[in-house]
Amino acid sequence: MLIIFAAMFPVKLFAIQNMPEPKNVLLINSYHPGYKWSDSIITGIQNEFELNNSIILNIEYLDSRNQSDDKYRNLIKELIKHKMHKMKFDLIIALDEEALNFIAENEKTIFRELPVVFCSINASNFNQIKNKKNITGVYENAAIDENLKLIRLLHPKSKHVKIITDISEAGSATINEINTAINASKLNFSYEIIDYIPKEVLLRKIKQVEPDTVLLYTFFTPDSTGQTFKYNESLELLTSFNDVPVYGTWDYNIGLGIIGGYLVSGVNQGKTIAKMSLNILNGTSPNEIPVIQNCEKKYIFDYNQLVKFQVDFKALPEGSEVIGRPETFYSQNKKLVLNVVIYIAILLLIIFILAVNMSARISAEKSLIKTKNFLHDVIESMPSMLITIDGNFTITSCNKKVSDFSGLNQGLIKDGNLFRVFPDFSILEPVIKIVINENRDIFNRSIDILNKGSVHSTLVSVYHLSDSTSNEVVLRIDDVTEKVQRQQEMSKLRNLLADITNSMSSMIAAVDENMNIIQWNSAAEKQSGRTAEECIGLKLFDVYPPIMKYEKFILQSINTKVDQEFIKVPVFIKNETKYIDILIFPLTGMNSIGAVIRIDDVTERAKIEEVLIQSEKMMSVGGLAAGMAHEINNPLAGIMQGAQMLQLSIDPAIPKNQIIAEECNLSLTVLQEYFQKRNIFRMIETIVTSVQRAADIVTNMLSFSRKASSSMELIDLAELFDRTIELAKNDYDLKKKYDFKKIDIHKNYAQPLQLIKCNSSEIQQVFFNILKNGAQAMMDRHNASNIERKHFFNINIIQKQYMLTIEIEDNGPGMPEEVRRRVFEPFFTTKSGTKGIGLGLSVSYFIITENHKGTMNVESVPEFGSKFIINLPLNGDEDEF
Amino acid sequence: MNFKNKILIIEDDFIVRTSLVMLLETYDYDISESDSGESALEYLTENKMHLIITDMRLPGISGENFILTANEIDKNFKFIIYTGSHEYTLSQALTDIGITEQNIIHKPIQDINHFKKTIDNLLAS
Repeated sequence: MLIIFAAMFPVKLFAIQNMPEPKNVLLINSYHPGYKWSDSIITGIQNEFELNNSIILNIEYLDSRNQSDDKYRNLIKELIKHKMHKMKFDLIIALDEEALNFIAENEKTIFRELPVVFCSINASNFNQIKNKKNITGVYENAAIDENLKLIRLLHPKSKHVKIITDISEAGSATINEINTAINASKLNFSYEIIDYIPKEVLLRKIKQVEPDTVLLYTFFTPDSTGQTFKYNESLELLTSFNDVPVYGTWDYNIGLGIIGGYLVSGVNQGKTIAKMSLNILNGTSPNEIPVIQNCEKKYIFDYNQLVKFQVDFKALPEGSEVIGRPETFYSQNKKLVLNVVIYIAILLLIIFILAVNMSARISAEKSLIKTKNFLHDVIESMPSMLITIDGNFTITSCNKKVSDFSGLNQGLIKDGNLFRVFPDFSILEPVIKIVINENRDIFNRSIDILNKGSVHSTLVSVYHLSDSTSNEVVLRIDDVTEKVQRQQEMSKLRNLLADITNSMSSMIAAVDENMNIIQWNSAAEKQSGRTAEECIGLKLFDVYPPIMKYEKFILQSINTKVDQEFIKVPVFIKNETKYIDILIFPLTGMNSIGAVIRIDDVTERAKIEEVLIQSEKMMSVGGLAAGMAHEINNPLAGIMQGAQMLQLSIDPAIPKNQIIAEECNLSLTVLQEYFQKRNIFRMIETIVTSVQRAADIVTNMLSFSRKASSSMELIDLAELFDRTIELAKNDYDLKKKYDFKKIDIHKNYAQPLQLIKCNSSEIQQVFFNILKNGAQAMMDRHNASNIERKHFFNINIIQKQYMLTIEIEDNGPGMPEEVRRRVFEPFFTTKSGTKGIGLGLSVSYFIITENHKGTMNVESVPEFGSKFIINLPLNGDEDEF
Repeated sequence: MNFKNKILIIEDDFIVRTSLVMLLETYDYDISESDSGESALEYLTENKMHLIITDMRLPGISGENFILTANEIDKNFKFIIYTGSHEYTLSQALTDIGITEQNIIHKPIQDINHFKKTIDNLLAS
């Protein structure tokens, strides 16, 4: 504590020691307290001095407006003298001319060498202080020139300016200024200076002013009659009796009826001289401070007057001060208003925050409600049954699906015991117990629930709610009965589809765009020897190479979605030529890319078709041959008759020949001898033989279209065949070149064999032709190769329901395909020279097909042999089979 | 003059007809010829014939119709059917007027003697 006091004390002491000694300033006012002009200057001085504590301002009033007698003056003089004697003054301020004059008068006696600062002094009175030292101050002048310019600016239409002034000391100085300004003016005004006239004249003059006149008022204190006016009285006179704007020059006139103007400011003047005084008091010599020639002025206007004379506010010079603006409540109660505003603002802010908060709450609440509703809707509309139960199996909630399923009202269900409400659910008890006791969840357990007498397949899930603290568990039951049924139907359908494809005899394979197998039916399994399980996923051609070269067509079909088919395509399968139809169907489903390929083995059908085509061809050839044969018989008849005529014409046995020979003087005997020697008879014989041979051919050809003859009889084919074999063994032609007996005959006749109605000689001719052909072929081969080989015939006679099939198989050289196809055509022969004319098999063919309504065809494998197959209908030619 | 049997040959094929005429003229027959059934019938109205040898496939009236018509003219006419159709079989109408397989000779004539014998047999009957 002591230390702190000790520390503080010297500071305070130091502060006292450093306080400057107060200065005393004596202000001598020419006027009296309450005189507005001098008061405003004093205010300015005081304001400035108040900033400086060390100035003590003393004011003495000369009251020159009211007291002008010498006695008063002397009294004042004594007063001030006394004061000066008592007090030490550092500076004298002279306010207005009376004061300055007083100082000048009493300089030597009272004021001595004290520095003097003056103000409110017109420059025209400069002489009073011209040669004095220790004096400085501010000259005051009315800004007439500026005010005239202002009038022109604000009242562009005005024409006349009347300037009012007086002849007081100040007034007379002002008139100089007025004259100077008017003389220099280029403002197009007509001027009138009104001064020193009786009050009445002034009034009259003022009452008579033209409307476009502006008055400029400086001051009008005394009139020519010596009547003095108070500063406000004269202005009142001016402004109350006319309706023209009155401009002023001193700021204390503002508010008294003038519109305003470029005004001399008393306060500012006071401030200026106070600053000068302070300078001097601080040690600056008054001589070093120049006299300010032009006091400070300011554009000041009266708001009401401006409004009254409709002055454009915007035209006011920059920096103009407008006083008397209607005071607002705000300006009157600025602090209160501010406080209230701040208070309200704070309240509003609070309200706003609360509102925002509330709206957030409301929207949160709304969204909560929305969420709640949404969740409720979701739960209610869920296809699953949802039931929550507590540890005692009491139902705490359930959704609509539960009541739909059970047919019970939702309200009835709630708070009931699960198994009492739904006895059918007791099947779920063990599952629920596991969940409750072992605290683990169970999902999608398949359980069949009996409900209203029907079994429902369900998926039951039982689980704890993830954020539930209670022992509640959720029971979710999905009725999947329909789904299960659908699945069963689906699989049934799928099986049916599989059955359908599998029951087809066609090989059906489906492939994707990469040729991977996706479907493989049982026919395909059979054909390929690979099961569907093995094949699916493999490349089609790895599994079934024969159709390798159709890959591009399959791809084409997949890409173009166009079916393609390839009919009777020869393929080589297991050393055999097979004919298949390949049908490619692109998959046209939305999501499937690939193709179904159907492959049908049409080898048998192709063979049948070939036979049919052959028989048709044969029929037409047969018909043609028969027709031709008939026509050939006529020329043959011509040749034959001619040849016979030749023979006949030299026959001596014919009387006509003798007669004509005699007529010609010719010996028939000699002629015959000549013919004999010239071989003419043999030539004729050759002609006859040739014609006969041609006639034989024609006869054979005619048999192609000959209808079955009537000589049909019931025949045992086995016996007939045996007889034919015997015939062949004894055939001269055969015996001559190849011993038929060297050929083994393997007979395989069906027992018992039905008798068949046929023409035995014709059928025998057929058998004979076949045996002869086969034997000759084997013989030729034998001769050509010189290889000893056991040749044989296999003769099979097979009893069938409506026909007998005779198969005659040899192990001769066989025939190439192109031969095999044409072997039944008339005149088609591979035999050279005279061995045959190529009608044997044709005639056989027509005997079987035309005369007996049977079929005949041949199969052959080159190097292995040939097999003739004849089918003869049991009912002969009665009906076609 | 010796009696000569009159034979009419109806055959549309010129070569076959003329060669047959020449052949039969070698024997002692009086041969007439015609190239169609119509002209033959016309000829028959004015001339008496013993035997008529006719082709079956003729332009215009067929051989069969000719035979039937000629038979109407004279029941004593004898006929030989000379045909190139080996599958030719006699119709009931021809059988009814007494024509048999014996009356058929197939073209070409295989055995001239057999042909003459047939003619002579018919002429003799």
